[in-house]
Parts: sequence; structure tokens; C-alpha cells
Amino acid sequence: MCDFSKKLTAWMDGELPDGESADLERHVSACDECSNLLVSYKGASEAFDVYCEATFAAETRRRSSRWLPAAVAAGMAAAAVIVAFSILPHQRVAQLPRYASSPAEAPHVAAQPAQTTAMASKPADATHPNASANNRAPREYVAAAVPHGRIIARGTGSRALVQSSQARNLGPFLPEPHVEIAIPADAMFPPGAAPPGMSFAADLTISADGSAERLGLRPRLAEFETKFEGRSNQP
Amino acid sequence: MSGESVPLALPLVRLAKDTCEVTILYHELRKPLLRYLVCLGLTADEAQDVVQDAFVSLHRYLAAGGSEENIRSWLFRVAHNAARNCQKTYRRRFSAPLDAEVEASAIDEATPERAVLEKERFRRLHGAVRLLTHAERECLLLRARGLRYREIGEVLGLATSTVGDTVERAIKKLAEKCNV
Repeated sequence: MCDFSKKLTAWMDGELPDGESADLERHVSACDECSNLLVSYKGASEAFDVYCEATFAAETRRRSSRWLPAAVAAGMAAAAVIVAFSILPHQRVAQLPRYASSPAEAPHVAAQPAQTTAMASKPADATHPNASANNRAPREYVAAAVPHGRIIARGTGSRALVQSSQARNLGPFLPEPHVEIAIPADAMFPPGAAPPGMSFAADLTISADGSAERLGLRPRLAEFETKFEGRSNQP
Repeated sequence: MSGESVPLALPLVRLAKDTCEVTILYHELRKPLLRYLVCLGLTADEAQDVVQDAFVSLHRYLAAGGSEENIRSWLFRVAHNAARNCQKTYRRRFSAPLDAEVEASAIDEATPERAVLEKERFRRLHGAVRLLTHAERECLLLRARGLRYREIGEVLGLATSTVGDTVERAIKKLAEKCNV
């Protein structure tokens, strides 16, 4: 074996000092053995580089295939959510009757405070038996189809008002139908406890089994209530 | 006034300089580091994590006033040590059988005859690579990423002359086994 052959890889990699490099270059051009070894070493070096690239490419491909099922599943889940939000709400909205679009057209019924409580526990009773004939069907639908409906009790005037509304702002999502009930202020507070002109709205959430889940009172502006009552009393 | 602002501004300038330098190094060395780590036996995800950690360490190192010389070998050394600490990887590294995926990725557009020849050559190369020692394989991998012998020595904790001998021995083994 030629003595220069041990320095071939270092020369190939440019790691030899300038003087040694020039000597080796002259030697390789004259020595067949070293010349052949150099070709062989260069081939092995290039093959190793290809092997490294292939290993990296294989691992990258394996990683992609590892994530592919998860990506497909995530895409399908996203598509299902989009379909659910774009189709199902429209179907449910389409089943809803046309409710009154203004307070004047709102169905109303005379009711007493005690009946309000009864209605809260049994929503279907809200439309029965005191409901106006022309508005019975919509209210029954609200009570039957949407047990989670919200009841708002308004404490104005001497006459209670039951109103089903939500015809406005029917977007792609299911609206939250609610029934509005007016309760005499005298029935809720002792005389003089509430300032003149003050009224309250009670938010009552009814669960699926008909029981009341949440009740909250909100003060209302008297001016608004007066206006509202005046419009709702129109035939 | 300007005399007062210098002490305050210097750390900011240095921080901006370090950040900029780390960003440039990241773009330059991220792929070579990933290739080196994957060829060592890490999965692509593990390699990504190690590279991220290495650059975070580099940022801290420079911010703490570390030397800016030999940053490339410093990064490879940090990544190499992190890969070594991964015991699972170390076990997997030399026990992986000939991978059909590696073969397929290397022989994509070949004609049938050439594909057979390439496959055979690749099989021999794989066998030869598995015969290399840890040091020989690591030296060749670092050399394939463009590191000089001095840098390889800094990464692996070897003398430059030892690296030269190891590379020469490894290349000789590959050339004999592959008969190329």
C-alpha cells in the first residue's frame, strides 16, 4: 500500500496544509493506486451523503404519514361542525311559527302573578286557558318545542301581559324564544316600596323538565314600559 | 447626556445584535442540524425540539456574553449532547433494520434495471454504515454537514488528528464494503 494513501481523505476534504497538499496532488497524478483509491473514496463519500438525505427524507415522510390521519379526522370534525351550524339551525328556525314582529302584534293574555309561577313550572300552561284565540298556536309551539325558553315578567300596570316574541333577528342560530309576562307591581312589593314609575323585569329560565332554573330581577325604565304598554294594548 | 445614555444603550444594542445573529444562524444552520440529528436516529419531532432548545441556549449564551467564535461547532455540540441524552434514541440508533422507506426514497425515478442496481448498492451501503463505530458514524455525519475536522473535534471532544484518522478509517470501510 502506498504511504500517501492514508492522507487521501484529508486531502480530499481540504484539510492538509498547502505544502503537503501540493505534494500529494503531484503524487496522485503519478500513482495509479492512489488515483483509484481516491475515486473509490469519493464514491463512498457521495454515497454516504445520499444515504443521509434518504434517511432524512424517509423520516420526514414517516412524520407526514403519522400526522395524516389526525389531520383528516380534524378536517372531518371541522366540516361536521360547519354543516351542523349551517344546516341544523335553519331547519329548526324553519319550524318556528311567525311570531309577532312588534309589541303591538304580540300575543298577550291576562294572567295573575300566581299563574306566572304556574307557567314557569309548566310552560305549556302559559298559553292555556287564558290565551287569546288568535295567538294560541304560536304560544303552544313555543312552550312545547322550546322548553328552555325564557320568560320575562314585567311589573307594570294592573293587567298582566304574556308575550311570545323572537321573530326579530332570526339569524343562522336558533333564537331564544321567550314569553313576557307583566306582573302588577303591587303583587311583588308592598305599597310604597318601589318608587313611582319604577318597574322590574324578571328573567326566568326554565329547564327541560319544566322547573325554574334561574330567576333574576332587572329594573326597567318607566317611560319605556308606558310606551310598551300603550302599543301592546292596541287591537 | 450622551455619556449617560451609553451604559443604558449598550446592553440593548448587544441584545439586538445577538438576536439578529441568532436569527441568521437559525436560518443557516437549522436544516443541517435537523439532518444530522435525524441521521443520528432522532425522529423528526425530536430533532425539531432539540434544535429549538439549542437555539434558545445559544441566545442565552450570547446574551450572557459568551464567545462568538466557533458558534457552529458550539451549536452542533449542544444538539449532539441533547441527542445523546435521549436514551431511547441511543438504543434505536444502531438497532434499526434496513428501512424499506429509505430505499424507496433513494430510488424514485430510476428505470427498472437501474432501480435494481441502486437498491443493491443501497443495501450494501446500509450494511456498511451499520458496521461503523459510533465515532466513525458521527464523524462522517458531521463531515457531511460541512464541518471541518477541527469543528468535528470540538463537537465530539476529539483531537483534530483523531478526527482525521477516524474519517479516513470510516471512508475506507465504506469504500471496501460498497465496492464503489
